[in-house]
Amino acid sequence: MRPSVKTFTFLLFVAALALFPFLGNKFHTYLLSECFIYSVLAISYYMLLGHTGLMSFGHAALFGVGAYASAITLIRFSDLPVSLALVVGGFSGLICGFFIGLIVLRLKRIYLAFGTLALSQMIWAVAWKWRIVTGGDDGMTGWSSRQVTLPWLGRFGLINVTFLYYFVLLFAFACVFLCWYVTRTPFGETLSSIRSNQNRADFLGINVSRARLMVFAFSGFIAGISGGLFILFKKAAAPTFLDISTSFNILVMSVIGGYASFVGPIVGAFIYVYMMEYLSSFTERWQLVMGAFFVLLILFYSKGVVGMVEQLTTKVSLFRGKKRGKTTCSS
Amino acid sequence: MLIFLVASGLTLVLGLMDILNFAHVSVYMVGAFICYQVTQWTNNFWLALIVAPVACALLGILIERFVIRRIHGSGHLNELLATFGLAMVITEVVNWIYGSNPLPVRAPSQLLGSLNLWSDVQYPLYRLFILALSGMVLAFMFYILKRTRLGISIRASVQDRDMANALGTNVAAVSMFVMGIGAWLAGIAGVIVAPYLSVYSGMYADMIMDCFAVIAVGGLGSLGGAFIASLLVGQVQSFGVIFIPRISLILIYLLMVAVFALKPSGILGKNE
Repeated sequence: MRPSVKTFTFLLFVAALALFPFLGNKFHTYLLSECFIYSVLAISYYMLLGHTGLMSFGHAALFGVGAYASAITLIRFSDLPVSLALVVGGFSGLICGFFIGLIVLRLKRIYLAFGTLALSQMIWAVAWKWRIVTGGDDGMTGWSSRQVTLPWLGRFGLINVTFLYYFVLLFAFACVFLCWYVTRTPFGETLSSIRSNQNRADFLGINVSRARLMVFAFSGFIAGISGGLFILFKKAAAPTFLDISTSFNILVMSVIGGYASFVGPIVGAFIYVYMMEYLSSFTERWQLVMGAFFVLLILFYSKGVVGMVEQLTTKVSLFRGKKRGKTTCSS
Repeated sequence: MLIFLVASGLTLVLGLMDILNFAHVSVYMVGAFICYQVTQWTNNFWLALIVAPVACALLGILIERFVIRRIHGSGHLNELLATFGLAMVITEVVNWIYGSNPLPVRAPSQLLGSLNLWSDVQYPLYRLFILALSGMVLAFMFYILKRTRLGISIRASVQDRDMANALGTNVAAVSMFVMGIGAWLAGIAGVIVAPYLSVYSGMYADMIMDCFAVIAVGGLGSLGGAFIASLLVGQVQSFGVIFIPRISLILIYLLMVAVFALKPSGILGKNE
C-alpha cells in the first residue's frame, strides 16, 4: 500500500468510529466501547511482550491496580473530575509497574513469567482481603450517577452510552497513539533490540535494566488508564479484575490478534469481545470454542489473525503476479 | 506429596524439553475424572488406579506427538501458549461432560477407617495409603532415573539435548517417554486425590498455582528441588492457615517472590 492510501484508509476508519453512535445501534456502541478498553489493555501488554519480548503472566495486576485506584478516587473525592480519576489510575499503574519491574528485574523467560504471576497474585490477595479499602469480594460501586462537564458541550452522565463511547474512544485513541509514538522513538528502538537479543543489547552499551524498568512503568501507566476506563464502563470494581484469569485473557487476546505486530493486539481485542458476546449467546461452552480457536491459531498461524491475513494477501498477490507473468510470456 | 507427584512430571518435562507444560495439570484433572467414571461403572477403585494413569500417559504422549513436536522449532513462547490453550480446551471439555459440581468418589472399603499410631493418636488409613503409594512411586522413579539405561538417556538429554542426540540417543523418543511418564504420575495423583478431596472441575485452578510455586521454588527441572519445595509449600500452606489465617493466601506467593529475590534459579536449580 502506498502511504497516501494507508493514510486515507486510516482516516476513513477513524471517521467511521467517530460517526458510529449515530449510525449503529446502542448495543454495538456499548460493545465497541468495551473493545476500545480492551484494545488499550492489549496494547499496553504488547509493549511488554511483543515489543520488548518480556512475557508477563501478571498483567492483570497493573490493570486492576489502575481500576481500584480510580474507583477509590471516585468514591473518596467525589468533587474531583472524572478524568482526573483516570490519571490517578494511570499513575498508580505506573508505580505498580515500576515496583513489579524492579523485583523481577533480573529474571528471564519462564522465571519472569513466574515472578510476575506470583506478584500479581499477591496483589490480588490484598484486594481480596483488605476489606476497608477495597471492599473485599463485594467489590466497589457508587459512581454510576457521576457526571462529566465538558466546556461548550454541557454535562453528561456516565450512564449515557453514547457519551461513554466518545469518552472511551478519546482516551483509547490517545493511549494507542502514545504507545505507537513510543515505539518510534529511540527508546522504542532500544526496547526492540532487547527483544531480539538481550545480551547483545547489553554489550552495545544499552542499559537493559533501566530500559526494562521504564517499559514496565510505561506499560503500567497505559494498563492503569485502561483499568480506570473499565470501571467507568462496568460501574463496579471487583477482585476478579486482578486475578490470574484476567491475565490469561489479556494473553489470549494478544495471541489471537498476533502478538508480534502493533495492530495485532487491537484486532485481537475486537475479536475477543465479539466472540465472547456472540458465542456466549449461542452456547454455554464458548470458552471451549475460543480455546480450540486459540490452539489452532498457534499451531497453524502463530502470528495470529493479523499474521494470517498478511500471509494470505501475499499468497494472493504472488498468485496474481504469476498469472500476469504467464500472460506476458504467452503474448 | 500429592503436589510433588504432579510437579515432578512438570519439572521433568521442563528440564528436558524446556517447555512449561500448562496442560500437565489438566492431565491430572482428567486422571481424577477417569477414576470417577471407572468407579461409577465397575465400583472398583483398584482398577481405576491402573486404568486412569495409563490413559493419562497416552494423553500425554498424544500431546507431545501432535502438539509440542509440531511447533518445537517455532519458539519458546509458542510452545508455552499452545499447551496453555490445550489446558483451556481440556478443562472446558471436562466441564462440559461432567458439569462443575463436585463428584464424590468412594475410597475402597479396605482403606476406610483409621489406624492407631500410638496409644492415643489416630491417623486416617487413606492418608497413610497416599503416603505409602507416593513413596513407592518415587522410589520407582528414582530407580529408573538413576539405575537404568533409560534413565541415563533421560538425564543426558536433560543436560544437553543436542549433544545427547548427536551421541545416538533418540531424544525425540525420550521426550515422548518422559511426557508419558509425567502424565502417568499426574494420573496417579489424580486417582488418589479423588476419594480424598472429591472430583471437581476447579481442581485445575487449585493445583496449578501450587505446582508453579513448587517448580519455581525448587528450581526448574530439578527433581530433588521439587521434592524439597513441595514439602515446603505444603507446610507453609497448612501452617499458614492455622497460625496466620489473615495472610495465608499471600504466604505461598511471598515464598515464591522471596526465592526469586534471593536465588532466582530456585533452591537446587543450576545458575544460568
